[in-house]
Amino acid sequence: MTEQKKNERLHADDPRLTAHALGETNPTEQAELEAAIAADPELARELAEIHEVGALLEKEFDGVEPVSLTDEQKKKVAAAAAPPVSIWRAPLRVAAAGLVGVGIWWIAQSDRIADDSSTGPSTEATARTAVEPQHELGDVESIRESAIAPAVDPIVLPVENPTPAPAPAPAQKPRTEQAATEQIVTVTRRFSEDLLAAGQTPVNRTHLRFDAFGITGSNEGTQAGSVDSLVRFAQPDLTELALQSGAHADSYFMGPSITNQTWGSFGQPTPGNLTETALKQFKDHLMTVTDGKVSGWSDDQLRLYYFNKQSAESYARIVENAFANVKDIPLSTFSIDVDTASYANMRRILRQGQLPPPDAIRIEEMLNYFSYNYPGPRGDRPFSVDVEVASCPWQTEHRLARIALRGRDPEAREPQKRNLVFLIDVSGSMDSPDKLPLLKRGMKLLTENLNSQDRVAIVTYAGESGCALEPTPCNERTKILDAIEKMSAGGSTNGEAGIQLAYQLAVQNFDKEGINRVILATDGDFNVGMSEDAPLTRLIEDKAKSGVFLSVLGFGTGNLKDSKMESLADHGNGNYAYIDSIREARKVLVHEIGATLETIAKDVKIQVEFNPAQVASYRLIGYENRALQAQDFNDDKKDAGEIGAGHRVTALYQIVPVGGSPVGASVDPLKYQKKPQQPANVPDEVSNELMTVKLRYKQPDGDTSQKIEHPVVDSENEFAKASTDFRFASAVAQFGLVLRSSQFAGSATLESAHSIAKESLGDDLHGYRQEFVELIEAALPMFKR
Amino acid sequence: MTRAQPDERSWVLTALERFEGPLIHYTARILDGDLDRARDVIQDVFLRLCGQSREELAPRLAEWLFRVARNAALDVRRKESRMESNETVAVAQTSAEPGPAATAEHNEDQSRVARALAELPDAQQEVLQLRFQHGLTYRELASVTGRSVSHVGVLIHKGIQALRATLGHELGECMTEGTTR
Repeated sequence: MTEQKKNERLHADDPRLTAHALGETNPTEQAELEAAIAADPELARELAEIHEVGALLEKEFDGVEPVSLTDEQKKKVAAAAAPPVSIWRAPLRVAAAGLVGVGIWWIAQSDRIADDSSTGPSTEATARTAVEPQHELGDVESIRESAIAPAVDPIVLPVENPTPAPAPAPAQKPRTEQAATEQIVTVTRRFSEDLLAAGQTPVNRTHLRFDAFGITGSNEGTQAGSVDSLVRFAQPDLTELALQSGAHADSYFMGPSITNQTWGSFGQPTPGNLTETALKQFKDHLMTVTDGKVSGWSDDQLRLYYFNKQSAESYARIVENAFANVKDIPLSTFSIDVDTASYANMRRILRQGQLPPPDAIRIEEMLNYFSYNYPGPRGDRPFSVDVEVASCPWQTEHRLARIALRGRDPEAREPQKRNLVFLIDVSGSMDSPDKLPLLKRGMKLLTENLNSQDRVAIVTYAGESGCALEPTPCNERTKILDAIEKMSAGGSTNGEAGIQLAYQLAVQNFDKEGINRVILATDGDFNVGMSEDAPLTRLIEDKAKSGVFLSVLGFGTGNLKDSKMESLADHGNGNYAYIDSIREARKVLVHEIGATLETIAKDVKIQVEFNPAQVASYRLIGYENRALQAQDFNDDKKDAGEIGAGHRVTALYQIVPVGGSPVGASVDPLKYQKKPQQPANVPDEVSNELMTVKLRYKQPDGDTSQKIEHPVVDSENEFAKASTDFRFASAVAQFGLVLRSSQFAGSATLESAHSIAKESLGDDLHGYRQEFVELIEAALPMFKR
Repeated sequence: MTRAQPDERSWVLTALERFEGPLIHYTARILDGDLDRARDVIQDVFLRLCGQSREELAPRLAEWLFRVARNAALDVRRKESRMESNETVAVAQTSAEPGPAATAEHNEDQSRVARALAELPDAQQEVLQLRFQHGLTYRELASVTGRSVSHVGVLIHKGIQALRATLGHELGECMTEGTTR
């Protein structure tokens, strides 16, 4: 593909030339274009004229008269830009019965995190120079508005009922007395609301909250947990900042308050696999307050905390595809999958300094996380098919075949109207900065990007389900944004009634030409009503017949029912994404909005027929839970995956050529059957084909499928000469194989995945590939242990 | 140290000083050259900016401002057109007609460049203005206008090609005299 591009003669009327003149090309393109221009005086003239027009335009625009807002308008903005600083004088009483004498507080200030590299004033100094207090607690508005504004007042953590709990061994120098009493606490919106809602008696309220909060894992119901949740409430905005800086929320949560007893029940710390960098970061921000003295956390405490966070997550077991003998099983059939949740989830776990459990790694979702430069479709086809074959980097005597689909780009036709119904879990467990608040931010981002004829409705579900926003056209954007802002968490989850209502609203406003979708956002805990998997998926399956599609967004940690959410999305004709940061929310809801929301083909199935004259055996990498029976391929009643506008689907086969060393177990030759003849009547012109890739798909509203056939001849390409995208995908697969500790990993190592990925970053417009490289780097030290 | 203080006030006001002019010009173009209505829109944009987080917006402030301003101005335009007549105003996105500037400001005082610009389809004018007046990159343009980067590339390319065709013989002069008139 790349070579084709190079050989093409650059036409004078090529947008790339303009892009080059304006400095908008990447280094590779730039080199290519410069070479082409050097060789062709016509192009050079062209380039010069583009520069001239640019200069003319700049001059033209330069001469425009300066304008500005009126003074009145400026005043309004200035007034709004200065939120009143709130002060919170009421000493926080961490006083519930039995609560231990160790409280944990965070004495960071928002800008300390935001400006990590800052060598600026210390928190103490900033505190002294901060603005004088203007409001006492009780002024609702001022506190609401002061989301990020640092409050300035010492907060004393009175330790009532002080149990002589041994203080955890400080791992860094204890902070001074002064620091302990002059803590700067960022008063956050949510915590303030809690205080106010409880009539300024934060203690009880917090504990009530905790009861409904349902801290997961080993912390559940322990006293330690109460402090955990308390501090979480106190810090959502700091957590948000942390999220923005790319860290995962959990990294910045407070850990449990620690007593000997609690430690004992947790057992010994596991061999830590928290990275040194992560440890250092946490230590800077985590404090333990004991009898008014502040000290840092020890490494062991941190490690234990993270170990405990991990325990309640569940993943469906993945049994990897084995090598199949072509003579026995010449057909390989599977449904496409455009989900990417596994990648985001893996990233979260790695960022926490842990290795993800093997079953959390779905290699197809890792592959499909990235955008590849596959050629777009031609003609009426909703997507293109491209196959590339080169040697397999982790088993060089094998071949690696990459099947690539690319959905047509979203802008190719008029934007469809969107009829979106958010179905939002507002149960108590969503009340964590990496869940509901993150979702709300994501929804706001999405709302900003919708057109005014689009409609949004919001259904919330907890103990009872309710409609938080009737279907509202986006020209009433503020109404939508208000409704988003007002959502808050509390109660337990009844998914069923919520699903019923959401689909009902979506069907009410069903737009035949448009996009109709229910977007379910949850941390996966359906615990009231219909919570059994089977009836729930049947309900979803039933609802999917209405033509409304389903997207499932997973949030949070510790209680993630990964397999359940994926299965819901599959049954609801939809996709599943895991959202761990505002960056991911943006990627899924905004950047991929066309893809997430506009289905261009459904029930897309792939069947590969291997030529026994060329291929001895093969193995499909990933897609384990997408396997189909060979006969399902032509059966239009069999459901399969959807592809959306702009989506890329990548699948890799590891292929053992005829004559290569066989891999895996083989079956005894059959005694009573006629031995299959060597390719009997295969005409010469196809006998050298490696395989034929067949696809079936339906139009989004169609019932009968269409078929595409794509014969593939192995051009004997070397891996080093394969396309950038091919090499990058192979690095992703290698990383997945290593993380899965796959028996098929061959010579795959993190190091080789790293070096291949680093050399095949390509355009990497959004920096996702670079981030992947960094993830491998994060995983490296954990493997060395 | 030039680092901005964590004062919420200053960053919005700094942004205001830097972007109010460009944003008013940009929105005025969408609003048939009406500077007063553009000011109203931009005031709202900055009021909304106050509710945003500085840390998140900092790396893409211009992008955010132009996008929000664009959406707000298009909303105003749609609402008004609905009130004035039943005709739907073609959203700048797809319109191939010459932009409002062509009809509203067609007078002899304009430079040849301005007139040539006004003859271009709206979508091309828009990206050219954002690029050459405000220096937005292709990627930022894509984000602001809701198009793909490659589509932006094509629009700019076509716009420049069309201007070259109209201004063809002036290009040489420009090189030697350094003037466009």
